[in-house]
Amino acid sequence: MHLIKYDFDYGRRALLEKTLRGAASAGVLTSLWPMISKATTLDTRKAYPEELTSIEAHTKGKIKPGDTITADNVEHVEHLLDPIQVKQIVEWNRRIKIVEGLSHLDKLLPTPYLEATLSNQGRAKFDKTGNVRDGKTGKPWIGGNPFPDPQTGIEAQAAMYLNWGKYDYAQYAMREWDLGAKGNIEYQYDFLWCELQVTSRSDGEIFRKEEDTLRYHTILFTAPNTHAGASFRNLTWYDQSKFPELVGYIPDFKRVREYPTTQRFEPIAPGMTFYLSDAWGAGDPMLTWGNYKIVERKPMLAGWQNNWGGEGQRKNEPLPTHGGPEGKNFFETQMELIPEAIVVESEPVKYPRAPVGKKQAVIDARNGQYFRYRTTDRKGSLWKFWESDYAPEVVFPNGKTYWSWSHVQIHDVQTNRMSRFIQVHDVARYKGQLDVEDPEEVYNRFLTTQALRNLA
Amino acid sequence: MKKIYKVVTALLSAISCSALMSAPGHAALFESLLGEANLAFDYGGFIRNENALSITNKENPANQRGNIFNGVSVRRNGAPVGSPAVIIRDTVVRPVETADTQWNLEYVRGQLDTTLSLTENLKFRAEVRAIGDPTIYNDEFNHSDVPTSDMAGTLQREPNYFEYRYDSGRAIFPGSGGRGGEPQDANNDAFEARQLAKLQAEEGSSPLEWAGSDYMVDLPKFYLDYQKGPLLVRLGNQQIAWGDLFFWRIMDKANGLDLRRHSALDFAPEEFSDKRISSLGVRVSYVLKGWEADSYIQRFRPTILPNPETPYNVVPTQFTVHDQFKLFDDEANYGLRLRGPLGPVDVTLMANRRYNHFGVYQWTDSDVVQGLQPNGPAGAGAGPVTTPLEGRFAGELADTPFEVDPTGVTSSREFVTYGAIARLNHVDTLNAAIDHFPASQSAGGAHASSAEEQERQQDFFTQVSGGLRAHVVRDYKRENNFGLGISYKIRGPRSSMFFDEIDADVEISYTPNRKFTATDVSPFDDELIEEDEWEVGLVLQKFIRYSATHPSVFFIFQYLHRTESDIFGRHLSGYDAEPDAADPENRLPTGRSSFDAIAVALQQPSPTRKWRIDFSFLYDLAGGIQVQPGLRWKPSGPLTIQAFVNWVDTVRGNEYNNALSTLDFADEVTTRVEYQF
Repeated sequence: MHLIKYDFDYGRRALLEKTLRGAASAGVLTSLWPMISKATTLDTRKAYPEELTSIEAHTKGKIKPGDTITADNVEHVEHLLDPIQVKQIVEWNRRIKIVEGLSHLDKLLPTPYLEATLSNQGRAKFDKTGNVRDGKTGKPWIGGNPFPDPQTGIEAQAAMYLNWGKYDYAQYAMREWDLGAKGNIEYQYDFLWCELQVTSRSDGEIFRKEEDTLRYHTILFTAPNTHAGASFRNLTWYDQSKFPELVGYIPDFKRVREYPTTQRFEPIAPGMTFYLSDAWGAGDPMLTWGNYKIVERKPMLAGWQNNWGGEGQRKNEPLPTHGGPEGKNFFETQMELIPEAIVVESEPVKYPRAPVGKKQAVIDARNGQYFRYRTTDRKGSLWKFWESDYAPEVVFPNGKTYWSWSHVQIHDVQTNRMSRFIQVHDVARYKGQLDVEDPEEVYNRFLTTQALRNLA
Repeated sequence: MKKIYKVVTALLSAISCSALMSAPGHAALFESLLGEANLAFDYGGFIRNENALSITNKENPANQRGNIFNGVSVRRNGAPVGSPAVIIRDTVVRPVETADTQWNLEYVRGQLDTTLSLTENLKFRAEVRAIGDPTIYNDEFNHSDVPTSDMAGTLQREPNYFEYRYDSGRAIFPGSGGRGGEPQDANNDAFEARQLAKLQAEEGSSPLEWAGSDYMVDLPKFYLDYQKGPLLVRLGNQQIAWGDLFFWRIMDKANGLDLRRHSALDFAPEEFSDKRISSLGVRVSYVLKGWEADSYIQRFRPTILPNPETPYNVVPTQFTVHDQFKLFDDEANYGLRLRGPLGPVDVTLMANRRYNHFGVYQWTDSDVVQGLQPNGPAGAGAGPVTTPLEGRFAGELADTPFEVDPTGVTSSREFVTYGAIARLNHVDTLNAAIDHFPASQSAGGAHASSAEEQERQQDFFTQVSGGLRAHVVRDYKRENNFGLGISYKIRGPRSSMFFDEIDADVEISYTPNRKFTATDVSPFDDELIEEDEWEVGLVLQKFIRYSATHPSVFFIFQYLHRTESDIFGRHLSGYDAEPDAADPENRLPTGRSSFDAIAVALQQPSPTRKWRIDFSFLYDLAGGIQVQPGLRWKPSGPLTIQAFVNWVDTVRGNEYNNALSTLDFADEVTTRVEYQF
């Protein structure tokens, strides 16, 4: 006779209780991160009951790995999806393939970041200004997730703000499509996205000894021709209460101009539903938003694997799409059950003119990485829904495979417009790359205002 | 030009030699300098149809068929200087038919932008710009439609939309001392003929431009870029854009403007990006600790003005211009700019040494051996004037700035009015053309001591000649420019819609001993106007978010102050003439103490940026205004449709006291339909 130690809804009840209690560690059967740091394994399954790690157990056999979620069976996983995803499946014939879940952290994070997280555990503190510091030295955070076992909303979000892509340098070649409400492709853009961590680097260094800077970030459009050369350069200060410096090169005017903070809440190109503020669910400095709170902990479906489009994506070919009025709205996506997602809500307290009322970032409690994001407008109506899907096997132009994001789908539910983008091999002559040997070179090439002019 | 080619050839040779080094050690050095081989080719471009529909019945007064005296009966009271009374009284009608222009511009434009990446650090860029003008304008000028007209040169005989033509090195009298190598012999017709053959004989100021009367193809970008770390070296044909203003260019001193394509009436926020003249040169910039040093040496190319009889011409076509660029085509301009943070502000320091691209205009001998006309222009009612002077003074006139032709000035009223239009002193100009040209005195001209006396002399000359064209040289003068720019971001309360996050910039330039065209068009260099000039600009930029659904509206306010000249480079002492004043003495320009103007621009995108509303205006505080509302629609990725209106007018004061009245005729709607690939 097989004794079931925990009844079927034990996991979900435990997560609900944790949400109601406020502060709580990740994990149900045990606290996840203390277990990981003491154990020799990076397997997270021991912290959760089977009903939270197996989709088959969770749905009592109605859905299993290999199945495809469609309008016909979505009822069995409806509670694991965002209502917008359910609407996409029911009304726009979206489909999602279910796969066996990943459980080892080395498949859920890049190795340098994971190692920094493990070695720097317990050293992060908020200073009196609200910024994250190394508790030992008072210096800027030394890399990895500062709060891998978040107790509060701001702790859960801090890792996303301090290092978006979880690499010290990330250069993504991206291809993007914007669809109208009728499902037709109205715009297509290629751009390069560069993130250079100055502080909070996994290698523990501070780039150019600029302790007051967190990150340099550039978006460089390379196509279509009329938009090629358009760019935005973000300088994010380490002090997360300071507004970033945003400059951009506008091809129409052949000029680099400085932008105000409100520009962060506007489409960066015609047709896009994507705003700079939306980047990684943490586009603005952490302390320019406020009222962080964890509003939910629950299992969810997330795309952590098999979302790399293989050779097609590597060769810059558009991925197959389906759903929507013209069959062009959605990428094929593979999702898995994750045992514990943390939904953190916050408000743009320092942006009185922001059109956004609230945002909710959905973070996997195991790796601290966001995978869904939604915003409401100032009236409280749902506005935009983001879904980011990842893969540990993204093949970069150097031929190596890395953990990284693969594709993103954004749905403006008020206008029914969509933007979706993928990571490709290269755009124009710029290839994707991670953790370069000479950050000074990429800094000079992509991340200064002079660079913007040269790139134009 | 030869000097520039030598520099370019030497640099290209050095790079080629590096590339040929094949020894392993050299290969490593080569790779460390140039980066890994990264051969890639990219291209893109667009095809665009552009039209400008006139929405006014005003014609361009600078052109023959827009001359404001066409079809107008003008009384003439002619008398030589010293004559106690009027000798000839008659009425004249200018013998050119006024046009009814509907289309100011009709272009098909294509642009192809290519980039060839050679290595990580080395790339070659070329941009081909091609414009065809079907020239289906309904009212083009042709000199053969004007009886007896046979003026020298080609540009003023019929429209030539795109060729930039200049003289092939002639001797000019007397300011520059016989440049061109031929001694002057006032009585040698053969010499005059050789001189005249040089008028507008050269074509194109760039080896990378090919133009005909109705098309042009050029390579505004044609350069090799080497970038390694903070170093950028750009070698080849390129624009250099310094400064951040629109409508005017305080720090943007490196390049002249190419105004052949829609003059200064293109979409204002484009900030001269299609107008700035590319030129061969080397640009080197280096960034150190946030400060950028940016330097260049570049072949001089002057501002290219629209040709006579083309829709946006601004030089009255009674003038024949002898452009002396040939004498400067191997000269270089150079400059240095430093930019970087200094405490709470960003600072820009600029210095350059250049030939002023506007140039200065000076009387020159016409070299046209043509006696007084046997028949003057048809006098209204009075019939053609015949005088005993017909056919005489051919040799003398060749050595004066004048050429006999009915497309020239036909009355003192025209002389006075076009003096005001050109911001010149009509009394002093004729006196200078007489005092400094002995042949003018031999032909009967004499220094006038009053405006009334001069106007009678002008009437007399036009009566006996049948119309006088005036010849000027366009010469270029060196100057040094020094600039300072300070940028500061004004932070106000976060809740403030209007007073938070305002970018404030001040740009100041100082040019000692800048030379301007004298208001008497004196041929002598030492009689040019020479003044120290200050240009000061204040810019406030702000994105205003007033709506939850719409992106911010972009707002720019600019204020400009210039101490000596207007935005077209004309000295202010030629301003404020009143050609219709009752007293001839009051018709002379009284000048303007400074040029002050404000400019405002707004841009409002739609929520998806599919639509954009633009609005800008430039207001000369003396009363001239240019208003430009526009709308852009981008329905899909490759297609863009844009329309904007230009409305230019004098809304208060004397039209000859503001700069913008020069473009008063250009009320129009411009449309652009563009397909990108």
